[in-house]
Amino acid sequence: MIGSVVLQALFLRPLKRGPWRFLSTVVGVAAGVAAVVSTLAASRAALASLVEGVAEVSGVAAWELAPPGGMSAAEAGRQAATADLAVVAPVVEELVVLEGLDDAVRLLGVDPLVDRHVRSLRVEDEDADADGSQEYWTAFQGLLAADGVCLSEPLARRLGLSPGDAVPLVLRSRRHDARLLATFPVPAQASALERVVVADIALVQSWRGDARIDRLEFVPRPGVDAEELRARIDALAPAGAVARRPAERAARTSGMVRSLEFNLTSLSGISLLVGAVLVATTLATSVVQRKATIALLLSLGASRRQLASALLAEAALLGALGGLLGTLAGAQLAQVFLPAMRQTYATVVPGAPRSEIVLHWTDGAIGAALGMGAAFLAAILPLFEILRVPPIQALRAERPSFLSGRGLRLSIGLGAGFWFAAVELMRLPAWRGLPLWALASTLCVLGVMFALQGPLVDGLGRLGRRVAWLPPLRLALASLSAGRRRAAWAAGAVGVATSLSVSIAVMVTSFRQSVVAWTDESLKADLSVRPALVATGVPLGGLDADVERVAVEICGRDAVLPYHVSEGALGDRAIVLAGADFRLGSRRGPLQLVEDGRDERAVLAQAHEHGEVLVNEALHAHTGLGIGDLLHVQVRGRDIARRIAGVVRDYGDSRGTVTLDLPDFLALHPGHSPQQLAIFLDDAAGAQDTRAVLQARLSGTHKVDVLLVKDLRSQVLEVFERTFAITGALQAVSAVVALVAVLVVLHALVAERRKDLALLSAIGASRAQIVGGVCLQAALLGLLGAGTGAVAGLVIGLVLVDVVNLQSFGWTLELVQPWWQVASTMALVAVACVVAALPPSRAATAGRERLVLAEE
Amino acid sequence: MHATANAAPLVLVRGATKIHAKDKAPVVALAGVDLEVLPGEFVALVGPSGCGKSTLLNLLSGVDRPDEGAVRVGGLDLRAAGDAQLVDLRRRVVGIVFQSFHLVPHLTVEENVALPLALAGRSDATRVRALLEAVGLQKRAAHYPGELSGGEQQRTAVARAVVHKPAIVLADEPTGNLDSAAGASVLELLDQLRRESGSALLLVTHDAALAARADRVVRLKDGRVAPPSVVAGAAT
Repeated sequence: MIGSVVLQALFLRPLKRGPWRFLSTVVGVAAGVAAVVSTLAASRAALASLVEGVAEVSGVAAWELAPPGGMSAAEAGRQAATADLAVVAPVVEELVVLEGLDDAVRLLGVDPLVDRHVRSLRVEDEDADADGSQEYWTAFQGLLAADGVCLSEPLARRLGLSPGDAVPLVLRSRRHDARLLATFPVPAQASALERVVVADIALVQSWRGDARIDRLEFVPRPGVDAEELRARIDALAPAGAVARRPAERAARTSGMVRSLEFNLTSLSGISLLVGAVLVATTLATSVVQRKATIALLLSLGASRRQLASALLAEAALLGALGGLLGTLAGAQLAQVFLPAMRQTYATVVPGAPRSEIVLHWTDGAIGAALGMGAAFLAAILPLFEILRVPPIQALRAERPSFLSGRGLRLSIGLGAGFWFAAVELMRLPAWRGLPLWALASTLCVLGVMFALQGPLVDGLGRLGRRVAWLPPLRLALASLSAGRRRAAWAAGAVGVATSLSVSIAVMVTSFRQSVVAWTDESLKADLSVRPALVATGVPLGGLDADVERVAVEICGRDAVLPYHVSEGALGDRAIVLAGADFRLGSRRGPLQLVEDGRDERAVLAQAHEHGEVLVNEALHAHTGLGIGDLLHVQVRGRDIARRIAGVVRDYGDSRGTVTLDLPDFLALHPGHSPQQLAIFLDDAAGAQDTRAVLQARLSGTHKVDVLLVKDLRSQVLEVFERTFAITGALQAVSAVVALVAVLVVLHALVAERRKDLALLSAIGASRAQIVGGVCLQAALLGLLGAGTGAVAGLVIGLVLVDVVNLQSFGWTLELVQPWWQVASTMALVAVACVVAALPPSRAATAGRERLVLAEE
Repeated sequence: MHATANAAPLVLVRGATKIHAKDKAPVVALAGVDLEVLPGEFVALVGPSGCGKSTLLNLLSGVDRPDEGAVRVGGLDLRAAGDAQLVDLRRRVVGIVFQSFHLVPHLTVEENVALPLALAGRSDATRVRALLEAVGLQKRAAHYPGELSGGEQQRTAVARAVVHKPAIVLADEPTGNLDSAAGASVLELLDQLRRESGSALLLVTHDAALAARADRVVRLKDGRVAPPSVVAGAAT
């Protein structure tokens, strides 16, 4: 009973009378939660096509054998010895573009005779038997017609295709017309099988001009021990290859984007952090504004426990409502984020098929937990505040509260502690490949900023006693000083948003500048031929062998530098194995070596002469292997050892790339077709004409982009911009939350000082003076937050560029401080704060004077 | 300084009516009040609680407007005056002393006293210091209101009310929160300072002894002015 009275007096009644602050705080928390939930949901959806689909598409296979670069028919044939233990199904898998969809889907090449034991693709057939068994067999036998494919029903519907229709698809940039044999239903909505095209394995092999098999899938026969089967597979496997669960492939794929996902989720967490600051500000304001009521209730017999419970009830409601709304908003926001997220991930794993946002119940739980967690965390300081209110408070006259010497020492000590922790954390290596400690160090930098807000606001207040007698400024400073704690929180919230903005600006600018310099140095070819871009903004697959043949025919052998890409493994680490012509490269010089004082052409010539390889920076950073080291790589069932001739800068890959000289690469990959072509013309002025000739020759049969060097550079930068689009969106959400925080605090500060403002009005202050004072106060708050936030942002930017980036992707970037952007961000924040101050300042001038004369 | 009998009234109220909370149960605060205050005159406004004293003061300081009737202060029609005119009125014509002092807690005593001048864009350190000395707070100039006693706070408020030499000081029960000795001292000070400034004084009070010091006493009852009475010593 007493508890409910306390709740009524302290929380429910004030909420009823003035719900705006509560509601705006709910909105702020919801925005923070929405940022995290949407990032998680969009990230999961973007990953789903890479990860979750693997197991589904693999059907009931218990093991798979998928050596890097695939295996020959002979190597696969050795596994026939496991036939007594398992059904062995060969699979080739490619990402293809379906014309009309303009997005990647999986093309599975399977053996129709054995695949029925692996995948439960029940193909619809009008002549189906009642039990469906016959239809399955019949439909898959249709695949043996060798020019037909099966599509999922939803995909066929989307493309408007019926059995018998032509299915235009693009595989490795070559257009193919297949016939739709049948459609199959998918087991559930958003199934990975929805985006699968099934064809006979021989057809796919012929399309890609490569008889290799990507993997073998094993379904144990009844009663067979899985481990026994595994041992048998391993014994027969090519060198370096072992049987793995299909889920392990999924895990390896997700591992490639793990750093990226972690960084994006951390970034979205900043919005939640700002939301937590908002809750803290609201609760602290509630406490401060109701100090007299709290004191009165204490003197009437309320216990501190009851008061604390009322505060926590408010926090719980804020968190629960914010979490709920945030989850719902997050689901919507995720739809907006998904394309950007896919584009971001596509830079690491190209060709992720389309996927849909599916909200799990766990998202609701995460949203509620984040909201409640942020609210309760934020309630800690106000809780201390409520516990410190003396019962005599109501009788005390209000005095200005300046920071005591002890408080000052405590704040500075705390700031120094955070700084020390930040420096130590950023020195630690990555944790399981994730830049966990470096990101924790950025939180410590924010901690330094928060710890120093109190002394800085206090300093402003003290400065107010010395400033020239300018009433609005003096009053604004006095008002800030009066609400020091709230002002410090608000400045902190503004600071977090500013630091996020500035640090992202530092990272993006540094990244951009490095990429521009890199493309200028590396992209020197007059023309570039590459597969056309798909919806994710990246080229999909490689080129058909005919493309190189046509290019050589038109431009000459020495003008065309093919670049081949395959897969390999360095121990457990999946890497990219590339092939480039070092001999031609040494003349053209399209590589950019990491600064080691050597001439790149000489290094390429040496690598060509001695059969050495180049590694990219990512591989160097992740493995520590460098110039002169001997590298052991598993490729296509073979172990090869090559010495490293140089480390090259490469912002196109973060997994790790080993580049072999072209003859060496082709010896390992006979008949391999290139990923892209760089064409160096004797007469650069003729590039436009040559481009037209190439396009004319290729456009009917292939889907390729023939790009002039300037177009290629701008395409690279476009991909870059799209990659960072998601960070911009998260930055915007965080800024909105910070703005709400400023609005809430200013409203609270104005409400708290309403009698002072009314008094000023009664004794001669004009409306302009009152509004000016409140806006000035907001501007000071904004500048303080923006100033400290900018400093913190520059430091965090440094950590992101030099530590997080290096640990995540292995790239060294040139640090660029975007001073103009920093200054404009600060100005924008200050202006935003002043704009946020307009509603409270209007409230401050509405019917104010009567408040004073109406004695309470 | 006594009122000039032939001067035009500084305050002229005719038939002022004010009804509060019209949308709920209406409360008639003023029901056709007539009042005149001459320049330099000391008028005491007395009456029981709820009779409309504070409402009348609100109308005179321009923080509220009558529903009916006319209110003129310093020649300005407050019912029709715009915001800027009302601000100017408060800066030049009116000084206010409140029962609850109402000092700005985060400004020092000296800053509080100088506030009306500063808001008008003026400064007069000599006058501020002289007033602080006059109210006996020169040594407390750098203190904050929260560090003062009630009497000291009200003396600060009195100094603030006259610092800009207003034509009239409106005092709403300025001694209501003080003991009798402190109250008498504050009123003495207020009277002395307004005489020096040549200001009129409209004092709202319950205290008959304080009202007795006025040139004229106006009684309000149920929102109307009761029949006039002349107290001893009052000039006409």
